[in-house]
Amino acid sequence: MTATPYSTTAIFDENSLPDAIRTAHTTKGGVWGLLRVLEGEVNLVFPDSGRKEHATPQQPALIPPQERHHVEILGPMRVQIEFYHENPLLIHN
Amino acid sequence: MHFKCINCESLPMRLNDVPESPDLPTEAELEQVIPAFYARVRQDSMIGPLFNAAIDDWDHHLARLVEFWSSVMLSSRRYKGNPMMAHLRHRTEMDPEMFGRWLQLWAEVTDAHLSAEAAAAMQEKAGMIAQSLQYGLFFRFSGNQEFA
Repeated sequence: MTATPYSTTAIFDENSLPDAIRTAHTTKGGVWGLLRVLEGEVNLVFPDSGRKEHATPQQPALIPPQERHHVEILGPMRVQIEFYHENPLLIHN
Repeated sequence: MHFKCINCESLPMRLNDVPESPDLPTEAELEQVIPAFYARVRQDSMIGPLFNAAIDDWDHHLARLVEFWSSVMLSSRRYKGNPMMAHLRHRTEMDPEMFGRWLQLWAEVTDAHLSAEAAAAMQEKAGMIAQSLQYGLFFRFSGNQEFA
């Protein structure tokens, strides 16, 4: 079974990425995010645990519900965030 | 460009943004509950040996942990370390069952020391951080995974 996002952001680049995503914020309860990198690379930082996920076109990064996080820009990139009501990784497997 | 993320919630960025709340522990309560919790952890047959072997200076460690919980619960920004890196050093000695045991003890001790609301907030945050640490420790994306 594959997961289908119920919502998807616009495509952002290193200049258009909103401040809301550059600074610490959380998804709502029960909302899973999947950060997809279309070009380039970014880090997804979870400051409470100190975890840092390096996301690339081959390696999307999972955003669990309500965990504080922000996107760290490393250079030119294009990204898009998908939102799911369930963990898309668990649904997939 | 204006962007409002309807799937997200904004967070207070500074301590001054967080009024003292009955739903959160106070600094004084953190200074009580954290040592009480680790005293319990150190006696536990499953996870006690791991912590006792990993920590040399408990006074120093407990002070850092109070700073950590002050930072995550009260946005004080007192903590300057990185829990993920600290746990990675002991990755081969840990498994998900041990995280479950840690959370079980955390629930017992926070319930015993804090208001129901503050204990619930501490338990929710601990569960989230435990999940995040486990993603970092035990989980790796397969480059071949496909999504809809």
